[in-house]
Amino acid sequence: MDLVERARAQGGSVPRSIVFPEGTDPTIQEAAVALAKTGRVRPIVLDAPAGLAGRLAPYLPDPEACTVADCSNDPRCRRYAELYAARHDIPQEAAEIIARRPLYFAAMMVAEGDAHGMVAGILSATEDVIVATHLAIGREHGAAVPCSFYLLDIPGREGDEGQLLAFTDPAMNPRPDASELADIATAVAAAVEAMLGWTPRVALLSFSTHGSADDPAVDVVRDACDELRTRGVTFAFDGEMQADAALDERVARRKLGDSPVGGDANILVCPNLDAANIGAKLIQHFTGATAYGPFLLGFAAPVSDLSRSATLDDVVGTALLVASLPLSGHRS
Amino acid sequence: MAEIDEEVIRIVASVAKVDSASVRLETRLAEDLMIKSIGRIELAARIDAQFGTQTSNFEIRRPKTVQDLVGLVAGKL
Repeated sequence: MDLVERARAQGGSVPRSIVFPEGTDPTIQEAAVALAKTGRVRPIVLDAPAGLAGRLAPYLPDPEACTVADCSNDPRCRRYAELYAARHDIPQEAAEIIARRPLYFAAMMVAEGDAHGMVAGILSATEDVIVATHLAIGREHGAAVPCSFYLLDIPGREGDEGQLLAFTDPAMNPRPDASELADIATAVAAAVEAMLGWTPRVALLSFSTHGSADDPAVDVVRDACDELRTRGVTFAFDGEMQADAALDERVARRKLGDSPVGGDANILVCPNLDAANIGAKLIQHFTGATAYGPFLLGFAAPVSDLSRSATLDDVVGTALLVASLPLSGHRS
Repeated sequence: MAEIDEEVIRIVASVAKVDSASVRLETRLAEDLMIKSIGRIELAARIDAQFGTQTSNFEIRRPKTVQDLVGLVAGKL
């Protein structure tokens, strides 16, 4: 079952509205048409060039399947600005300037229930997407540290989940401590279970495997595993371990012995943002993997921060998966 | 330029929620006033509202001091 079919199977019969604030980008325009045809996502495209709606219309299954909106003249802008001004205690005039910016308008649409989720980042820096999400949508009530993960579709990989592998945290936490690393592992395990129905098998990665090296960086990963044990999480995890022990059964037998995830992990938790971001880009570069996400977790609604190198397949798959993520329903 | 200085200081003080008298041109936005990424979104919007400028997220991240910010605004007028 490919990702489109899987996302369709996970979702209900009613298409979910996903807002794209970067409608000037041709990949987003193509993705909007492709997504409208799936019947699973109803794209809302903002900041589109003049005449885009007319150009897309012949390719859509019906006129309602995709909306092109102009956030600089949208009547909702004033209401969004009022809500934003009240929430952040800033002058209405400044809030209106913020609310007219496509990234913020899109995030306010999600915050106010006018869209299920947002897919942005193909033209914007990760920090801008994260700040807009934080300010307009807010943190999920009770959520631990916000984090992100990629879902990599790696040609030639033959895991229990086919070619897919979850990879975290490539976008948000530069130097997580042990407690934050445990939070990230827990959040991503819950997300892939909800999104794809996986049984999580989490490997906490390091350059050491079960004590083969000593270093403060290894201690953080080891402590994160202790933290997960103390918390009594119900998903399978193990660490610290090297990437080959996480993914290769022969190496896992040699280095780990009996491990609940060794050789068969489906979620790789990297020790810091450097490792996760570099690792994901290397996998993409050398294998031609499709990268869905990064999906942002810990916020009150589903958001994905695309890479600026995202392809059409990346955008379409990411949007389908954002549509399949549940709303947390509670903002802190 | 003096008018720009005064207005920028007033806006910076308001965003940082401090008295304008405590903000000088050499005051550092991040280190002294804790105006980091989130505060800079409001800062850009309030500057644009005041001066009729258009300041991108990228531009507003760069100034280190109030003087740098004044220079950014002056360059747009």
